Amino acid sequence: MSEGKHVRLEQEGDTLIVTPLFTFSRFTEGDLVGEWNRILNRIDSDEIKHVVVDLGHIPYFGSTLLDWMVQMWKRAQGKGGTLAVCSASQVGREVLGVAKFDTLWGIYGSRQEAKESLLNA
Amino acid sequence: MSTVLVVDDSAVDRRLVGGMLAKVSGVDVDFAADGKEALRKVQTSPPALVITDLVMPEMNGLELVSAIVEQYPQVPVILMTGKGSEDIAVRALQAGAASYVPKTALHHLLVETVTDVLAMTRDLFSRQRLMEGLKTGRFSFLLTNDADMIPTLISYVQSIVISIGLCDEADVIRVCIALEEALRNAMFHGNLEITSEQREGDAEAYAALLAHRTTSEPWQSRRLHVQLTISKRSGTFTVRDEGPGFDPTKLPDPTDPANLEKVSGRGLLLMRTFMDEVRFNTSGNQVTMVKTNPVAVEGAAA
Repeated sequence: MSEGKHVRLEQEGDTLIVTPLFTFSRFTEGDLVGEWNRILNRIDSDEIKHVVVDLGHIPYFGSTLLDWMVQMWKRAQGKGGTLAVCSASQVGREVLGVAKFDTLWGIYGSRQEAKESLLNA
Repeated sequence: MSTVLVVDDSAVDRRLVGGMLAKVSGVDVDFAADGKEALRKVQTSPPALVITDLVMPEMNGLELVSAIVEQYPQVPVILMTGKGSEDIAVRALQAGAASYVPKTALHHLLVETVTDVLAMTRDLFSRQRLMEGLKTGRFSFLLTNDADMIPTLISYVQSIVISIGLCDEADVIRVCIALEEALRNAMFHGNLEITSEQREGDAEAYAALLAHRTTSEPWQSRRLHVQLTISKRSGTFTVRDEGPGFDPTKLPDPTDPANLEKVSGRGLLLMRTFMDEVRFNTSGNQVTMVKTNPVAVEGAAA
């Protein structure tokens, strides 16, 4: 497990679990650069194919995280993998729906469901 | 009387801390032997303050801090740390603990720290009660391009919107998402003229560009003008930057399947979704967003 100031990274098999933490909404631009580099380095490593974004620790998020998710998805796609999202709050699901991201990726209630969805991906 | 909940798996240490707190006037002391028991007691009757040991069975002090901060943010927590656990103390403070006291210095620091934290909490409650009487707020901020101010301003607006009762908890979050998007849009795209592609591209290159723009003309002198008028009936949020402006009608629709993978336009989409009205001035460097409280409007019409 790798815990940054605002994002926790865990590896389970060939899947990287990306968990924005409660403090994510208070990120600064300086934090953002460091955290983003750390995430991309992990996704680019040979061991990682899929990404699960666990939104269970943040009550809401905006376009910054949406843009991150697109970037992570593209990176995973480039390696034959995909991205799944889990544990979003009610407002979080609204944000994903507004961006139409629920048409791109599976949105799951729990991390376990998200991981299971990737087994056949 | 203010109840202080002391959490420690050592009965000796509980007695020691309880004895010290007995000297603080206006304080009642309650005890729990681990984090889980403490959380049950907080749920039943929230104390004025929790003092917790770090290393305990079941739920440790750090986990207890996180749980209380998330579920009972009004209850401050002081951590008692053993030798060599300074790193964990820092993590606890980052997680929201009010303070920490090394166990080796309990005799010198505990009473003073508890007194200070209780006084701060009382002051906070007094201010909250005062804010309950606030009916309309008009605010005008002139900000530099310091992105660290955005979450601070959002947090402040959130407290004002809640105090005045403009909308329910979920809608407050929607308002804050929209306002944050407007502020980031004005600061990064407006004043600093950084494109979405630059922001989402190479992280190091973005950091260098940001450092250059925030310290060079014409970008560094530009300011952000934020005006807010918030009442129970409606909230008007105006954000103006000093950049060249843009034509919002020329932004691609980010929900078009052809654009879903692109990184631009979603901020404006969220603003339009979560506010009742969003309008730009003709030069595109000022956005005004309005949130109406349907309950207050219906009540006024009845």
